[in-house]
Amino acid sequence: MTASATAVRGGYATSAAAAVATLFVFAPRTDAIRFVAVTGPVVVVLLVIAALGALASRTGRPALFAAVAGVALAASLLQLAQFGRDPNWLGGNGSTASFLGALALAFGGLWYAARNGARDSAHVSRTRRADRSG
Amino acid sequence: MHETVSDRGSPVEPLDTGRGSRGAVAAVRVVVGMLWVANSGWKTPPDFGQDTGTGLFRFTRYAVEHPVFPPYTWLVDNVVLPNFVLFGYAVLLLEAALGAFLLVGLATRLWAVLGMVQTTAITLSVLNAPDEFPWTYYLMFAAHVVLFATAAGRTAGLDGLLRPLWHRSDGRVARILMRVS
Repeated sequence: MTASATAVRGGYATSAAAAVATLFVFAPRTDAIRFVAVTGPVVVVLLVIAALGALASRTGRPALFAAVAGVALAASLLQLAQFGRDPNWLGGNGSTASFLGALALAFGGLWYAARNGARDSAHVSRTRRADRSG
Repeated sequence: MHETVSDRGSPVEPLDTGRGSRGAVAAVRVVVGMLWVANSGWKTPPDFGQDTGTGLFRFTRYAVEHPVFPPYTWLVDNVVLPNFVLFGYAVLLLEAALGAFLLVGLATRLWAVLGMVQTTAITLSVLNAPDEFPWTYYLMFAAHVVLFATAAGRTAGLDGLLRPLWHRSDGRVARILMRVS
């Protein structure tokens, strides 16, 4: 099964956004443009999400989109649970949890679009084969 | 070119739906989403500033120390502050979700309305506090009105990608998502 072209484009764009967000690691803690708290461990998580997202987009496999959404959701919930406490494995805060949650939503939506786009494609193919044979 | 006629018979110019305008609306949505994402960062559990009188606790207390709307002041004094940790988690979850959903443009009209509600609550807390710039909150509210009015998730957002699929679906969730996107 393969994803629709729009889902693939969305997958690449979301993966790029995850990769670009790693640049926040260079923003000083007090900087007015530090929209998302990104630490070393968060950089690793974002790069994993970006790489898996790009792979999902390249292969167009809905299961891979679901896997990326799962990774982002798990990281978001972990950050939400540990924010303001010790230990805080990712070292981020609520902005980190929110941004990772956005990535989870995005890849979850892309999974839904890819899965249903693939189903529609399969349905059209079956209908055409039936028309030709009938 | 796209001129239409209103019920009263006068010509009505439709809103610009060109690529530039749609891109600008998407950009406003992303900026408003980032506003909530960034501001989820300083609502710090587990006490949200209650022990030190800082952070979310300090700004919430402004509703009592510098009242804007007496019924809201009563609500904060008698309901919110005695249950502050619960309130703090509710604010953190709401604002983190506002950031996430507006950033990706999913169920955008619903979250724009929730953004207006939260902006109103913030405004009623801090509008009369020292060193506050009231227009910040008026503009915040206006930005959410724009997101709602333009259904901003339909451009470069998940709403735009998923609405055709929801439209074809018979499911109840899909019907609800069609209404709130």
